[in-house]
Amino acid sequence: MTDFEIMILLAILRVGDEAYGVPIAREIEKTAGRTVLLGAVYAVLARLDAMGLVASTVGDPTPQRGGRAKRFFRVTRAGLRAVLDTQRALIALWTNVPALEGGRR
Amino acid sequence: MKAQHRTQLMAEWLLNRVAGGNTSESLVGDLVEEHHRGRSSLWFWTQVLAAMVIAAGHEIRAHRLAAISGIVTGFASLWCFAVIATRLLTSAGFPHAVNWRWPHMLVLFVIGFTYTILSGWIVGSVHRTHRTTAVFSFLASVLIVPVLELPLLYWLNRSVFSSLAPISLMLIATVIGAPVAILIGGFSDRPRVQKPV
Repeated sequence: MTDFEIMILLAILRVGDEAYGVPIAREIEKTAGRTVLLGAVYAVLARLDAMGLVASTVGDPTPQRGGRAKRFFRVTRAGLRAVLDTQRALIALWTNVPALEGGRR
Repeated sequence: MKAQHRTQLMAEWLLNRVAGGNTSESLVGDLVEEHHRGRSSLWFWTQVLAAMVIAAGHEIRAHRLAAISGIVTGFASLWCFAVIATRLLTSAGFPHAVNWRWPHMLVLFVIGFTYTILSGWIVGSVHRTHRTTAVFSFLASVLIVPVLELPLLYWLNRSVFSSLAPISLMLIATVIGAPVAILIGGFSDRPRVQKPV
């Protein structure tokens, strides 16, 4: 999984029930401090959906969105497992790396 | 208000053809929501264009064979149309390229624009299942051409560069006219259908 895919999964988990394109992008911008293109968010969401890591439901159309519906995303059980596996792998890789401990051996 | 609605519909039309119905509706809805919250029109269109490029990039990476086929089909049809147009213009007594003036260039631009639309249409029609891949690969390759063409032209005939007008027109035609024509032709019929999720 790419770092952006992991970020999107974590952002969905952090946002909760109101996770659609805009709040997901905002959460990443706020926490990771990087500008996010909504098109990139949707491209990754489509990929995660195809991998079975997220699922989506369509909300009601609203006038603020020109009559278009929101698509809400949630992380599936497989997605949660993938996030935890990545976390474990990264923590394992992080430990006992002298360069990351100020060069101490 | 009407202009804003037209802008939204146009963005949706473009994204619908490149990214598919479900994604484009949600994405355009998000963009409209942000626009209402005070984001500029420049921001809106930058996001739409970026979304199109991203979606096309994913499609091209996923279907490389269709990408190559799109480029070959596109250039083959462009070449055929160019040969036919040149023959017709020559038989109609159109002057040689070195004697072109503005009216001649305009005629040539209109003819070139028309046959580029037709080439885009052929690419789109031949590759119905991977239309986005084929059309965008063709478009990208057409944009790369002047990068290769200009140094070659300079090497072959430096005198062409003595006047800026023909080179500027060629650049405008290639960088703006050709992509617009390919998009119009390539996505002129029905958008790709996606199953509702």
